[in-house]
Order: sequence, then C-alpha cells, then structure tokens
Amino acid sequence: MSTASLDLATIIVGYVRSVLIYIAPYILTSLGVVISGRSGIYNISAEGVMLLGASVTFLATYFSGGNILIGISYAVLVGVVVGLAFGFLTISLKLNQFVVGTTFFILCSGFANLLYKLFIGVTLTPPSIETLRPITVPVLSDVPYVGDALFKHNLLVYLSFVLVAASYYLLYKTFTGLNFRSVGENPKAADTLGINVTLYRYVGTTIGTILMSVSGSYLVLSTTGLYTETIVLGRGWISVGIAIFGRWHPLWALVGSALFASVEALVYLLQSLQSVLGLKVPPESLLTLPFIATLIVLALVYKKAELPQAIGRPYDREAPEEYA
Amino acid sequence: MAKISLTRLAKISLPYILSVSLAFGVAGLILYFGGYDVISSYRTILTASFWNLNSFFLTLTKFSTLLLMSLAFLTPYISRKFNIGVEGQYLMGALGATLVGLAVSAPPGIHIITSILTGVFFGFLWASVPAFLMARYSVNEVISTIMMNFIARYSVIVFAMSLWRDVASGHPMTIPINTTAMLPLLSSSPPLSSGIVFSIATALLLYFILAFTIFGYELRATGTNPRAAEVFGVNTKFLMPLSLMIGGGIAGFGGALDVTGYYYRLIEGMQSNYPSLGILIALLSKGKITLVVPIAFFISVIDVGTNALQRIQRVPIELVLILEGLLLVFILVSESLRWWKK
Repeated sequence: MSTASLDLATIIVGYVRSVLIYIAPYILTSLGVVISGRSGIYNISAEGVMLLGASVTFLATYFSGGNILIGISYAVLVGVVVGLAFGFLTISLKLNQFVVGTTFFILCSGFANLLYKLFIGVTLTPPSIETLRPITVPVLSDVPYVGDALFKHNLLVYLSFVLVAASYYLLYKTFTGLNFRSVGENPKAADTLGINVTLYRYVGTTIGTILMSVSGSYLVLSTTGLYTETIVLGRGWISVGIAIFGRWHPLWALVGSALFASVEALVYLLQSLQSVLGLKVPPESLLTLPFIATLIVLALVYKKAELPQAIGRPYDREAPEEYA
Repeated sequence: MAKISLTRLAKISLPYILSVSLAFGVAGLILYFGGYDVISSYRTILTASFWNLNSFFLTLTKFSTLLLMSLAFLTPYISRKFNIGVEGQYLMGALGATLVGLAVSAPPGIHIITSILTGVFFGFLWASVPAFLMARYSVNEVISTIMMNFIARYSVIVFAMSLWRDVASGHPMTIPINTTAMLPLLSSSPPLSSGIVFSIATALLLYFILAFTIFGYELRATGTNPRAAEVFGVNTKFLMPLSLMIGGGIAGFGGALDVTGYYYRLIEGMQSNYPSLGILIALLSKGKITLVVPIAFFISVIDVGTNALQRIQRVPIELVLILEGLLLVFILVSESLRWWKK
C-alpha cells in the first residue's frame, strides 16, 4: 500500500501508453474486416486468421534466428493464401459467407495450434523471440509525459495509424476507391459499368486477411514474444464488432478501436491496482469487461448501423432478378 | 432398375467419397511432414474406438456430447441463425448443474432431475441474451453469442475457484457434486454414462418436432425464405430468437449431462474443442437431423482415434479439427462445382 504507486501522472501516462499498445491489433483487424466488407465480403474468420498469423510469425521468426522481417513476411503470405481460398469459396463458388467464415475460423485456429505443436511441441518453458523495439520519434518523444505515452512505440503501432489514413484516402478520395465501394454496394450496377466485380472482391478479401494476419504478428511481436493458444483472446471477434460499430468506415473503425483498447487497458490497470484500491473481485471477472462492452455497444448502435448494401451476398451475373 | 439406381447412387456419393479421401489425404500429408508413420496413424485414427469396450464406451460418451452440441447449433440454423455460442451455453449448463449438485441436498431422483433442468435452464438463459439483443436491437447473433462464450469461460473459472474449489488440484475445478446428483451409469465397468440415452432421445424428439409439428414447419419456412414465411403469417421475429434459445437449452442439457453423468464436477476447459466439432457436424449435415447422428458418430470415432494417436505418438489433437474442417470445405466445393456444371 505504498502511496508512491498511486502517483496520478505516472498512472495516466502508463494508461495512455498501454491504450496505444492495445489499439494496434484492433485497428489492423477491424480495418481488414472493413476493407473486405466494403467489397461485399463479410469475413467473420478474423479471430482464426489472427491466431494463424501469430503462430506463423512466431515460428518463422524463431527458426530464422530472430529475423522479425521474415516472420512478418510469412504472416503476409498466410494472409494471401487464406484470402484467396476464402475468395475462391465465397466469390467464385458463391458459398454462404458465414458458413465459410465459421469454418475458416475453426480451420485457421486448428492449423495455428497444430503448426506450433509440430514445430515446437509441448515444452515446460515455452521458447520466446525478440520483440519489436520501440522507435522513439525525435523531438516529440522528449515532450514530458506526452512523449512517453505517445511517441515511444514500435513500428506496427505507427503503421496501423498510417493504414487508417491510407485506407480512408484510397476508399473515399480516389476513383478506384469509388469503384471498390460500388462493388460492395451494388455489384450489378458496377458490373454494368464495366467494373470487374470478381477482381475487386478478391483484392478486398485478400487485403483484409493480410491485415488480420499481420495483426496476429503484432500480438506475438509487441510484448511477450511468446505464442500461446489464448494470445488472440477474442480480439478478432471484437474487431468484427468494431467494423459493425464503425459502419464499415476506416475512421470510425479507429474510433471503435480506441474505445475497446481503452476498455482493455482499463482491465489491466484495474488488475494491477486491485490491491491498492482494495477491490475484492476475482481477476477473471474483470476480463469479461471487453466482451460485455461489445454487447452493450452493439445494442446501442446496431439498428443505426449501415452496412454496405451487398455485403454477405454473392454476385451472380446471370441471376435474373435481385431478391433480398 | 436396380442397375440404374446403383449408378445414381454412385454419382451422388462420389463427391462425398472424394471429399473424405481428400481430407484424409491432407491429414496424411501433415502426418508425413510431421515425421509420423502415416499408415499406422490412419489405422489408429479409424480403429482406436473399437480396440476394446472401454474405448468404445468413451466414443459413445463423446458422441453424446457432440450430438447435443451439433443439435444446439442446428436448431437455430434451420431458421438461418448462427449459434456460435454453443460453447458458452454448454458451460453455463454445466455450471448450473454443478451449482445445484453441490449446494442442494435432495433425494437422488429429484436431485438429478433438478440439477439437469437447472443446467438446461442456464443454457437457455445464456442464449436468451443474444436472442433478446437480436429481437430488440437486431444485433447480429454471431458476434453476440461469441461474446457470451468468453463471458461464460471466465464465469466458469470464477465459479470453480470460489466456494467449492478443489484445493487439491492445480487446475481450476470444483469438488465432486453430491452423490445424489450423479446420473446412474448404464454400465459400471467399463463405465458408460447414461447421457447417451438422453442425447439420442433429444435427437429423436427434435426430429419429430421439426418434421411433424406446426412449430417445426414454421421454423423451416422461416429458414427457407423469411420474407415469404412472414407474408404467410409466420411470426419470424419471434421464431428466430426462440430457436436460438432452444439451441441454448440443448447445449445446456449437454453440459448438465456431462457434469451429472461423466465428470461429476465443473472443470475449466471441459468443453475441449467439442463446440467447434459440433458446429462443423451441423454444417456438414446441412440441417438434417438424420445426417447429424451418423456424422457425429463418425467424428467421435476420429476424435477418439486422434486422442489415442496423441497419447501414443504425440500427434497434435488439432488434427481432428482440421480433418473435419477440410472435409466440410471439400464437400462444399464438390457440391457447388456439381451445381456449377448444370
């Protein structure tokens, strides 16, 4: 019960800092879901793809002697393979996207744990890899408090913010982005105008799964450098919720990610302060907070949530009349 | 005549045979690159259930859990709702049964029935949250049921670590329930839980409800074409959430049966990967109960086989998930390719 640990400024700086640490996977995955959804493909397999990305990143980094770049490259490769497979089933074969999404969630999670067990096995002390080093932004990181909280993070954290801006610009300020979104809104009209619906949807799905997979890399590379079966822990599913909350818009997805990162950071802050504050609740009950928050947020926004008009529906050029 | 139907049968079954072979082929490749003996692994996977009565009874026990879990997914799936919350509902069913089994003292028959019914009710209640959110706020049930899974997992840990914690165990679990709440065994050595009787009864009951009652008809109509069903006076806004809650009750029944008939306590992680296997079984069967039963049995055989393989050769248990997932993917592909050619 030392009063030193209750230094408010330190706690706030630490809190903001951890919000930024937790925000990156939410941003990356929800952006993946958003981009995929904007092209008309509802990919709910995010949780599984993240786990596979995490597992492959760990293994590739570990066996390349700690080369993080190789690890992330493999995660991108996983994203491409999963995205093309998902696209083949949902775009070319026009299968139900929820059925394929559920199956891919289970399959990818299975593969993630299988690969880890095949290459590493069950060990008493799990092997670890070196994590991404923080990059201190010159000048800005010297600002008292703010520098520590905002400008001493690893590359992927900064990159995730850049990606939000980039995808907003590409989707909403360019002609290609307009075409891309039109495929998710009204594929028939887009097709009539000569836009290649299939190609755009494949690109959207694959970019989506790449982002999800790299988001898994981040989980391995950011803090512990370990792979565990519970490393994703619902963040993939929550990110799908963020995409819905964010009305399939990159900037709103950023807002949603900030919201959930704040909740997650709060959970760990409360856990660490439990003895100081005299909270007598089991630590696991605090861990349910992000999931309860998701339910509440979804209940508040769902009715107003605007989906891309054609999301979830396969496009069939020869279908005589659209029915929905 | 017989010849024609035989070729027809061959034509219908060919894609499925191909899919099964392909899925096993990929599993074989994984085993091969993992450095295992592929042929003997196959033999173990397919035959371990029949090595002795003990492993056969184990297969039946797994089968009864898997059957209930797939029915819990299948019932809402008939009205096109995705109950990915089977896991949470199963766990809450187990928690409810454990609670009554530990906290109440009653004569054997009554105690068993109240424990199990409480489990069913807990599963039902757990699914009613997503059902309510769906009916009232039109929240997509996929996300909400998943969120309930995570909340259930932590609730199990909290419950297992509190009042009735088994201090002798390093793993979060409760002490055994009172003997009065234990379901009688069908066979005592080797042990066979009577849960299998209840799960098969549930499948039969559900089959008749879906095939021969107005409720079943309306549920199927809702799933086939919700708009048309609504035009013809089916209350789809009521049926969809209700089917989700019934699914929750079935999953809770599964959890309660596993506690009162097999584990006799609440154990963290007792659901293993069965919720995923159960969902895949339901998807494989395309909503047909007549198919769920044999597929669930087949998957339990593979599961027990893979478990044996893990004990003998340390082959990762995830192999069964991958095998089943790939099987579903290949069957979906082969069916749509056939549809494509037309």
